[in-house]
Amino acid sequence: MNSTEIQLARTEARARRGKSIPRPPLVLTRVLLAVPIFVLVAIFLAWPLLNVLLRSLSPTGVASYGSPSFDLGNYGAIFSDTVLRNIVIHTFVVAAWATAITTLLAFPVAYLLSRLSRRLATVILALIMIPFWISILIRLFAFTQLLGREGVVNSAAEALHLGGPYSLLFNTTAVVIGMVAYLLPYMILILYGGMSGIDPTLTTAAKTLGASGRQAFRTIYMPLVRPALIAGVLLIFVLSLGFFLTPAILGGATDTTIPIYIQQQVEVFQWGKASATGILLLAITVVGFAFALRLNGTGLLGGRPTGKGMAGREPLRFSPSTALLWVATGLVLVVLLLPLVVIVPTSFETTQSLTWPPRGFTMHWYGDVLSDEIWTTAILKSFLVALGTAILSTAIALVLARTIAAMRQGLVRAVVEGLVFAPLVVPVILLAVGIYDVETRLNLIGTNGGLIFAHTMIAFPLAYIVLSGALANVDPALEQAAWTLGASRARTFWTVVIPNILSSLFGALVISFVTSWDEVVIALFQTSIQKTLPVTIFSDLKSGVQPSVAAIATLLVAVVVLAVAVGFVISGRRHRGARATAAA
Amino acid sequence: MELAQASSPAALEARGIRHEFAGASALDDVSLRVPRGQFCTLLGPSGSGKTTLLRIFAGLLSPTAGQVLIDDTDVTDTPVQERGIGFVFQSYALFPHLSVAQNIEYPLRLRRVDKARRRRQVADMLKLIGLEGYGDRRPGELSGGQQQRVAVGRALVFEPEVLLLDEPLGALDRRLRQQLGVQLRRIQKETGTTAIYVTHDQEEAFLLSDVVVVMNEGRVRQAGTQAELYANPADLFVAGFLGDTNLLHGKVKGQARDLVTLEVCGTSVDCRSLSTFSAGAEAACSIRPEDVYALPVGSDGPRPDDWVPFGSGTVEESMFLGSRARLSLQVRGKRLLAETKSDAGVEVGTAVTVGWRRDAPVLLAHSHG
Ligand SMILES: Nc1ncnc2c1ncn2[C@@H]1O[C@H](COP(=O)(O)OP(=O)(O)OP(=O)(O)O)[C@@H](O)[C@H]1O
Ligand SMILES: [Mg+2]
Repeated sequence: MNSTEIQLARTEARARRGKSIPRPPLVLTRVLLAVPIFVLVAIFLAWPLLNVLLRSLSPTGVASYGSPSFDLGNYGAIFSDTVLRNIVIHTFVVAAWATAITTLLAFPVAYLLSRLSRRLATVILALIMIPFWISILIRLFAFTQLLGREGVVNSAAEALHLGGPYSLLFNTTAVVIGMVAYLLPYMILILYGGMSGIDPTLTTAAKTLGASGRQAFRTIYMPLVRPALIAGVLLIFVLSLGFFLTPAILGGATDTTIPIYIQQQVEVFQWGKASATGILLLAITVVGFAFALRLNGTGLLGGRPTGKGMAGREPLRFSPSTALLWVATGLVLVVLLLPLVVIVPTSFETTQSLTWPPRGFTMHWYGDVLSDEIWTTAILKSFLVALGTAILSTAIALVLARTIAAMRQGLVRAVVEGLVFAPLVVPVILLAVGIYDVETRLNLIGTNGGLIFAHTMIAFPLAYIVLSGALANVDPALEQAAWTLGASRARTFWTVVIPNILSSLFGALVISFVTSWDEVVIALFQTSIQKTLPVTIFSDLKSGVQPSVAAIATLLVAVVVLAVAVGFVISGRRHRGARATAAA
Repeated sequence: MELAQASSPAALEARGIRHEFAGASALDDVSLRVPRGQFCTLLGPSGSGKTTLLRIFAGLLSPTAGQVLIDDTDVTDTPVQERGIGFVFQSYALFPHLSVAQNIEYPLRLRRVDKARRRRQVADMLKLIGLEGYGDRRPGELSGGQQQRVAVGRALVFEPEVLLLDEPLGALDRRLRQQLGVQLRRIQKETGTTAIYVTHDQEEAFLLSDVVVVMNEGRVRQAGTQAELYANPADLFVAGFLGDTNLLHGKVKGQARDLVTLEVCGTSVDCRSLSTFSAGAEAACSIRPEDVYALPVGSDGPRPDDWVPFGSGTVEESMFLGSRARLSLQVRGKRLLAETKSDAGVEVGTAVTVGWRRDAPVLLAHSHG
């Protein structure tokens, strides 16, 4: 670098300066990007819900925009119609049971986790989270294998001469068991989040002041966990009200819940009462979520507790009550993990009907699955839809995360961010029938595109959670530095921002892919002839289980485990690189 | 505030800059001219608006009012990308996904410099900042001081007119700060770049600058060379901010040209002053401790020829500072700081005569706000 060169460069720069090229203002770009998202959400989220609302207010159950009716007859029927009333009561009773059992089991587990060393707690938490990665359908299938007349539990009871066979499947007991297994990880995470922030020296302090162990727990510890506990109970309860698949597969003929009722009615085009119950369900859910959020902050939606608080510092001494904590934790792990272990051997068995222990060994069912056109076309369709959903959801989430991050902190931002999470709150059965309704009008029903749009509505909020977190970790000074070096905003975005969130971008793609890949309820209404893989499995489960389902289930579990493992390896390598970066 | 004759070309100029954050004023009518090739320090306490001013220069913030000129061209509405300024962030803002060499190469790529020349310039820059052989490392694999030098190299490699630095040494320890500061000064001189350097460390400002601009509460309080500011602080704030000083408050008795007589503690003190004061006004003057002499009663020296006595008093404290000692004196009911040679034998409790050089006291304008 010599001084004439420098002078030359500076003269050039001087000539350039001041003559700025006109370009669209930033706000315009943002608006142009936001408009298609707004349109998509309006068509596939707002319009469906509005349609259901209009139908619920019409005596004939027809949504007419020309002359909308405001008739509350359908809502009155919820209380006057004996059949419907019993369904509503049954739904609430089942939800109450599931919530109570989940809470009783989750509390000791979360407490134990909050007192364990960080390392051990992370391992147990990881085990508890495994079911999150496995399709609900496959978990339910596993429960049919566990609880069936010739299933694992009854076989074990017989082997131990404990009597039986007990009827554990296709009744309310099975439904509650299935729901508890689904809800446990959520409840444990919420309680653990609350508990790990509580300083255990507080109860010790109470004891030095003369409180007995029980008094200290009741007067000091409980008041501190109460917000998390109540928030968790509320959340679990409203989630329980919206369960569709669990009662549909594990329940008996009398186990009709609100979501099943809605599905049955819509299938025969009786929209009126179904819509009204749906709106009631939505209202209860929204209120429940709102209270839970108020009590426990936005931590609920983020899901994961950020770190180990101080609770880990005071080691847990062994005592009879500590032993009980471990017993509860063991039980929970069995409930969560045993079903996943059971399906693998089942898929290799030789007989037509599934029995336990499996008889013989054959790869026959795998061959069947991979050569049968029903399965292969279903796999292909699911893959294409999931791929489309992954790309669309990640793109939407990226734009939203950037736009919201650029907004000033305040009410508007809070409202917009709240709306982004709205699809997570709406019971999925309601979305399913609403989107079905709208897409029928738009002639999109049955197409891959229609299903991609529908799945994107439930997948993009998850992708948003991942990406907004990642973007918040990119120092704004990095972007500003690139600008001062001469990079345009677009160029900065692609060369500085994107490379720094690459692993999260990948994570967002995986999460939205898996969400679509596993989704049943929306797809059930969307695919009459050409079914997705989960819908095919669902139909098989409804019409009598075959070992081919076990084979396909094993394949699916393997795919998800593989995807997650690859994700961990990739992001792990990046994180390790980043950690080395930070440490030096 | 003129730092040089208006005729000498200014690399950077601010005219009447104001800035408000949601109604709260952060900068209030700031004007400044920095001539080409100079190293200018913005010095001021935390919250005085230094960063805000620097970001306005860079184009990262738009001023509420006022103009920014680079090379006599109005760039107030020019986007940051086209201003051609180098900016060194306090956190360095090195791109973690690029190597050291790629970080430095980044602005050259943007300017479509051809590959051979890019390589040469990066190599030259690595040499200039003393990091040859570090090109392939990731920023995270460098020490804080090395990262800082990469940040400077990256900001200089495209030969910007002006280099803006926001407390670039703030995160480093004192020794390293001095070393790097000197290095930075050398690089700035070699490249002939105009530098604006933000700091709240007075020692750093004195060590590095051609000119120092003292800011407080969003205003420029005084600008000039270190020596000018130290010897002739314009107001109470500047006098107090730059080193220790003795402040004597009193009433103006009269003025003869640039000499104002102040009545302090029942005696008269003559002070230098550039502005006019009316008799009876409240005012204060500053006298640096090194200009205050404390002679044991009875002894006669060492003292300057133009010595003016102030009164007699006692030594209350003595602090050893190496070759010199800092004394705390009680004179005429006031506490004054003075300096002597540490071997002068002035102990705590000694009765002393206190005075100073005739031209030591400077009259200060009362600072507003
Ligand atoms: N983004 C902002 N929003 C609102 N007020 C701000 C913002 N940035 C700075 N301010 C305010 O403007 C004033 C000047 O801030 P500035 O960062 O320029 O100070 P500074 O001199 O750089 O201080 P420091 O030495 O602490 O870095 C402060 O009162 C600060 O609170
Ligand atoms: Mg600052």
